[in-house]
Amino acid sequence: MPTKTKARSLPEGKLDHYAINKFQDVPIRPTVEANGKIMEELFKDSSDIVMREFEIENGPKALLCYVDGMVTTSAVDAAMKALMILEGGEFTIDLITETTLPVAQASKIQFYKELLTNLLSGDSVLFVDGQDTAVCLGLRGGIRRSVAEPETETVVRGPREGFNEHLRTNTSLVRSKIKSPRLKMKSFVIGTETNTNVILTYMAGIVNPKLLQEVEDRLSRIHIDGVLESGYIEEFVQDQGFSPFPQVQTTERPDTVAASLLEGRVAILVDGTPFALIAPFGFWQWLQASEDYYERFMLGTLLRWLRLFSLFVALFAPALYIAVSTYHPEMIPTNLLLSIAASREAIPFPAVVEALLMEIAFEALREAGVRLPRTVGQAVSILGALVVGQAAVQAGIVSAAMVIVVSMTGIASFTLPRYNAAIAIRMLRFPIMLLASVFGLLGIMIAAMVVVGHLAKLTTFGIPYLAPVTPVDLSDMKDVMVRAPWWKMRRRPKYLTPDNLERQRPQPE
Amino acid sequence: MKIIRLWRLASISVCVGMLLTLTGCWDRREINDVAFVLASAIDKENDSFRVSVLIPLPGNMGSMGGGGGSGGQKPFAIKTETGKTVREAVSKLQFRLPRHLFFGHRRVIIIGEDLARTEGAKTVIDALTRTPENRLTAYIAITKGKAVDVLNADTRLERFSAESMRELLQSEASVRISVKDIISKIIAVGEDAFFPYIEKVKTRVKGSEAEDVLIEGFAMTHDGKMTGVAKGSTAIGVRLLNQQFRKYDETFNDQGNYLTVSINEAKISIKPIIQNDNITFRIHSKVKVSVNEDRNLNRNYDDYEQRKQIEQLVTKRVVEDIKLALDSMQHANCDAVGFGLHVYRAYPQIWTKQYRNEWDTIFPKIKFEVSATANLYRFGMTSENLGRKDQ
Repeated sequence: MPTKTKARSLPEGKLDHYAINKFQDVPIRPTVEANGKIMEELFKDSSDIVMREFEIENGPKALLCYVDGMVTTSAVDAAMKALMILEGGEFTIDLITETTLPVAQASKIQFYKELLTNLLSGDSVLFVDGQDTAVCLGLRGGIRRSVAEPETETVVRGPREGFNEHLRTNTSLVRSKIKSPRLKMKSFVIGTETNTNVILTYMAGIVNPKLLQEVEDRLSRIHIDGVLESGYIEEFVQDQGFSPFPQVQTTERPDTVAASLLEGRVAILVDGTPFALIAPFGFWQWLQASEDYYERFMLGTLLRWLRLFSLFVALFAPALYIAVSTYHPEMIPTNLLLSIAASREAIPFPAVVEALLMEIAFEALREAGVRLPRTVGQAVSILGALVVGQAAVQAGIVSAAMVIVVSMTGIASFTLPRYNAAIAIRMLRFPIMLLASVFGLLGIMIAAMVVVGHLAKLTTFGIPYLAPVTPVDLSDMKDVMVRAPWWKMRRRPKYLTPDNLERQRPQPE
Repeated sequence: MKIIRLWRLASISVCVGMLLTLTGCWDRREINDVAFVLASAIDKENDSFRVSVLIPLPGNMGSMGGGGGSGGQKPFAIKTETGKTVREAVSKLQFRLPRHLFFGHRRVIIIGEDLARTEGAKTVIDALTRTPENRLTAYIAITKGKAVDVLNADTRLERFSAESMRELLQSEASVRISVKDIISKIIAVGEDAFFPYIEKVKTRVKGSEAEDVLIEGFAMTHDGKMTGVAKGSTAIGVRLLNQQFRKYDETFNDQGNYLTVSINEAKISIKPIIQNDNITFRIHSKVKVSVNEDRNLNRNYDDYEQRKQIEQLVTKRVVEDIKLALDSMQHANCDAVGFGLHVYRAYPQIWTKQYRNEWDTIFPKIKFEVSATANLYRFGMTSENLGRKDQ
């Protein structure tokens, strides 16, 4: 840390070669001229910065700066108008902010760092001659994507609004779900260059303070030049960086965030991305979709079992096929075996090669479908279905049984409501297939043991990843393999150790 | 430090990689390289075994791929070879097969009558149990004539004769007898094994000629050697005496009117009684009967007496059948029911002292008291014959 006296002076050399933090303690100059010069130098070759010099009527000179395209021009006009027709000789900056400016968000700024941050976030900044305090006018505007349906987490029943790239829209969406002063939104700025606004949101009095402290600590430890997506934050705050399993949940849905907050979790909203982070995130959340809680509870329970089954299919189906067909043919019912044998008769490859071939083709197709322009995407899917599906079977390159196995695996992996969890399953499938091809069922068991062992050891923000199943807590089982009806879920999940467990009884306060 | 750690990691992964690639023989075997034996037949030929196996040909099964056009070809092949032991025959067989013979899916084993009578079924048991590939739940049967011929039956209804034999051997037409049942019966003193006795017959309807496999009855064995056959009523008697009863139909001539009933349930109670060093068995069979067809137009099922009459007919028949079965069992010296074991359970000490070692000679001379009760509990959807005029 530079000492105070040293920091008060401007950094040497070219001002526009320094990060904003360098201007931490640089005070606003008392004259417009001096400030103007600094601003000119800072924003050299920046055509989008507008600096408008004008005179307050019967008064001093003033300088208004803003980023073109990030403000509501009409509001800026109105503010300037109010200043230009100002009457009366004596005034201070306080007077202007308190009586003159027709602006809802106005704050006084004394140092350059804050000024620059606000200016570049879309605020307008006003310097007035003779004042060493600038005024920051919250006249943000500009073009933004409107609130749209979340594309990665669609529901049949449930709210259809999703986050967008604008942080304040996102916070307002959450706030409109939880209209309570207990909902807190702590602001962080992360990224020395991008100065991305990051908001840590939680429910005061529900969240465990230790968890909150831990998340805050981890957030404040991040030092990086830029945060362009919440994924940057996710990798910094997770417990175990080398695990294939996600330890932070991502969501586009304000209702999911709200529900998690009410359970005693915390959420991190990052400016510039519709994906919010929710922590802690354990294994059993993989199987929970927001719709489970909106539809009748029996369906929720049924779907959870289905998803768990799909998870196993997605992870083990190709490996099981390989293992059983090459090592343990006695395990397949005779008639099924004969059908498989008939379909495999002309196949030139061993089952492993066939499976790997098909899985890789499938992953490639899926990747192509995501990455390609939407208009071409359809062509790819048709091509994929024809080439991989039919032609390959007819040409005798892959067997029909293998196509069935691979497509079942694909479908199963799509049933997981958490995309990042499905990615982990997708990745693990390949080593398991290789193990199965070398060791048969034994290899699958080895893989399963390693995976389960790893999961059991994993923690998410200090909470066991497999909680509440291991360590077991029977009262928390209401929301694991079954979704209990709402009137039965009187308490918040205990494994999150929230400050307040009661969910349905009236509060004493 | 970092370099050392990296080096260690690299060397470990290289070692693991070598472990995976250097293993010379693992038991990986693609389905394409395996010949699945669905059934095998064991015959006697001179003083050696002739082992025949039925192997499906996936390429000819017509589902997909391969030569779909060649319609007339059989979907299976039968390969046969001789050897001093069953295993020798199999390994000789393996020499001329491009695919590895795999017995894990063998569900049916048939033994030729010649072998069963001379050497006995017990001579092949070891070949059927020693290696883990063999299924102890495979069904086993003795064939009339050569077992290969039955194996080669073209049943038309199923793709493989093995399949039709398996379905038949587990159907109601038989008593389910698998390799492990045979083993437990052959091992036990005081019990003898009996096998389903199957035969190949021809359907001679023009245009749909086929060969069928038929269950004729049961082959009786003594000490693992076949000594007799129970057919028809005798076979039914054997089934009634057996604990695993499966329902069957029985037809009676009731004063010129034929009547078919099915015996749905039967409970047998066998009680050994030893008096003055003389052993007798009291056998009581309780059967439950339902009417399937009655050609007597005037029978009134609401009448207790007339129902009683049917019950008496059934009772008489059951007693006759059981007696026939007992006779033939004693004649073949085949204790298929395990009377010896009944004695052992009731009088363990007397059994070991007096009977255990001479059961073979005692059994054919034992006296039986047979009785039965029948209960007509169901006479179908109508109590009156709908073929008569309303009165």
